[in-house]
Amino acid sequence: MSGLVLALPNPLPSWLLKSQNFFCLPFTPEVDATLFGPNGVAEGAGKGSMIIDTSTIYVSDAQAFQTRLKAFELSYSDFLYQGYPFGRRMVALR
Amino acid sequence: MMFGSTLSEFQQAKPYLNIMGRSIFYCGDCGKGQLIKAFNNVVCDINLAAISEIMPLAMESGLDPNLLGQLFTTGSSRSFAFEHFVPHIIERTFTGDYSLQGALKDIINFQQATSEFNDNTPMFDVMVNTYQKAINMGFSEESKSAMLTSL
Repeated sequence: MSGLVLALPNPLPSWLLKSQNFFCLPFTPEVDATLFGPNGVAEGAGKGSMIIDTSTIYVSDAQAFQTRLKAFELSYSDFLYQGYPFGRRMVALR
Repeated sequence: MMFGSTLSEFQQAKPYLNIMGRSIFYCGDCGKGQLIKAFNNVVCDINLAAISEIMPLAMESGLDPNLLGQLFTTGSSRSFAFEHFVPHIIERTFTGDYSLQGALKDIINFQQATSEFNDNTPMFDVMVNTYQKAINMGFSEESKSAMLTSL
């Protein structure tokens, strides 16, 4: 990830300082494996953690993830954006 | 950017989301982010299906394609879909843009919603027919504006 540059606000929100993990995942199967596979997020994340998913594309899959993660006391949100090239041209992404 | 979850989770996440983008919308509970994105994109796709039908007829009628392009991007029919795609259509450039295959997810999400509520969506159905023709002709990796080539 040496090429990644993030412009973060100053000061950082306190909850952002605690613990964050970023995964670059292409599609739903990879999200599923990352969440529920061996050493997955579901088992490893602390109870009450928030998972924000920008990769899963089907409504039914997102809702299923939310249901499964509730059993681990984790919250789940779907977060979509207008992808390349629309997002950049509409200045939706920073 | 479209967020789907509880409102309290949205409020908790908002400072972080603000880092990522400027236009962030709370859309309702889980899955609503995907759903509203699909609805938005389907409207764009219907625009493209419309231009795919109108453009060849207009040119057959002897109208100047560049003049058509100016009108479609400044007149009452103007939309983001037209502003973005019409210049490429006039140049007949159907590569290097959002692919037809990539639009399938929106169609599936939209179809799931229509089947859940048993709604009648004739314009969506026509768009899917045009879209499917372009896919069947081998344009799945080309731009969504390649719907034009299917007519």
